[in-house]
Amino acid sequence: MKRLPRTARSVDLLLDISRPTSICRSCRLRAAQQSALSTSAIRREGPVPFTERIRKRIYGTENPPGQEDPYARNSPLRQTPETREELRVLESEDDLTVQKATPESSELANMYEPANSWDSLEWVGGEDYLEALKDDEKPYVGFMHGTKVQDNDEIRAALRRAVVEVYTLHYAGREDLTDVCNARHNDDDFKSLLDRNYEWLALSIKEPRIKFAIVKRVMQLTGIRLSDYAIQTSPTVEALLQRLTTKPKPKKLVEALHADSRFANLQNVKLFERRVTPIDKEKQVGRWKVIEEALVNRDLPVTGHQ
Amino acid sequence: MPLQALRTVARSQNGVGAFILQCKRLDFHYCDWAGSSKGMNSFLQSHLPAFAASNPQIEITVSPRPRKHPVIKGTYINGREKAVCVRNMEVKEILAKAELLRDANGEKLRKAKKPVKSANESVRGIWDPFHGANWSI
Repeated sequence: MKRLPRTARSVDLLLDISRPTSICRSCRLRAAQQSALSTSAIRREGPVPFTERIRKRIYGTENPPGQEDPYARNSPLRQTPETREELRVLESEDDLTVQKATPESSELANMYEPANSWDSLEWVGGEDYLEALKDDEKPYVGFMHGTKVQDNDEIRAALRRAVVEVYTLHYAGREDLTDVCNARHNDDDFKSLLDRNYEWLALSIKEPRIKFAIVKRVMQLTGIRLSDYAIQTSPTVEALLQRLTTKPKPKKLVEALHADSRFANLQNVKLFERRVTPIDKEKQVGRWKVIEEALVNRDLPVTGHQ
Repeated sequence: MPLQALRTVARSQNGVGAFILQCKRLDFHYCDWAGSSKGMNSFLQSHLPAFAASNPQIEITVSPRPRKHPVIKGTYINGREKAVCVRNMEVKEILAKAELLRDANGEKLRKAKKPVKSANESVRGIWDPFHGANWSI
């Protein structure tokens, strides 16, 4: 148990016998006895550490020899020969690098004044900051088309262009077919390349070199990324086109169920587009109009879950 | 007039002669958004057409129930209803629950305490004071 500080003890007032007081001598003596009978040691909060007091007691002198704190981090008792050597090297380096403060540097330190508002401070981040960082001479041009191409005809035209370019290089005997990507994307309307001939869709792209070059070029032209799975499971150009122009999944399950042809022939299945409410159930059995009429006759509100 | 026992008429028993499925309707409820309906949604897309085709005598309805766990409700010809929550279940588990509801008879679940259960009356008949041994008191 932590004891009260020595100065805060009320008994001390009694112990000071020399002080003139109105308390009788017998009471003061009893207080002195109680103070002497206390069992717990008084914790001393002083500058002398515990280990130092022990050392003094062991050596029996006020100035014991050796390290002041043998358990400190830099105590020689805790150092191995290797660490001792490292410490020695570090100390010698410190001697080299430490610079003494000159009068000028202290003047500079005195001139420092902390800011009270952020008005005059440098601002990092934000749109203006980004504008200032931009290098106008060399604007960044990405590899892929900036925005994804949405139009299916445009995607088909881009695919056709990629196929024609890659096969042209292939038949020309070029080694690196991905050179087609070096021709930067231009805004030419390559829809005009399309014609009614669909034979090119049946072309096989099983050869990995050709497939990789075509996919890379199409991704560059359209900005549409294809997953590895989609690329691997596309043996022909037509399959690749289907992957590129896949319609997004329906957001609602009921739309997908309505689109499923297997449900069309089932007479016992009914698909609802929204929650079937209690009113819907009444309507299904033809009871709602009766309920409605009865409510109106009684001047009651015709409400419920719509 | 001599006393005559009542003639027993053959009782109808489901499955003897004809079998009528006790489940008349199954309602499938799902939620478009909630993750607990994930299995239910794929069940409705993948397994429900085959299930409905193999059970043409059951009326099946599919309706959303937003912000609620997926549920299958069965309605039976005895007027009772049974509902099973199929939250976080997988497709196979949901199919098992749909089959369980289809095969159920709609009765409350009771513990079978006797080893044999029969719908027939006892062959010894009902006790009658005018038959059997005459006890003299």
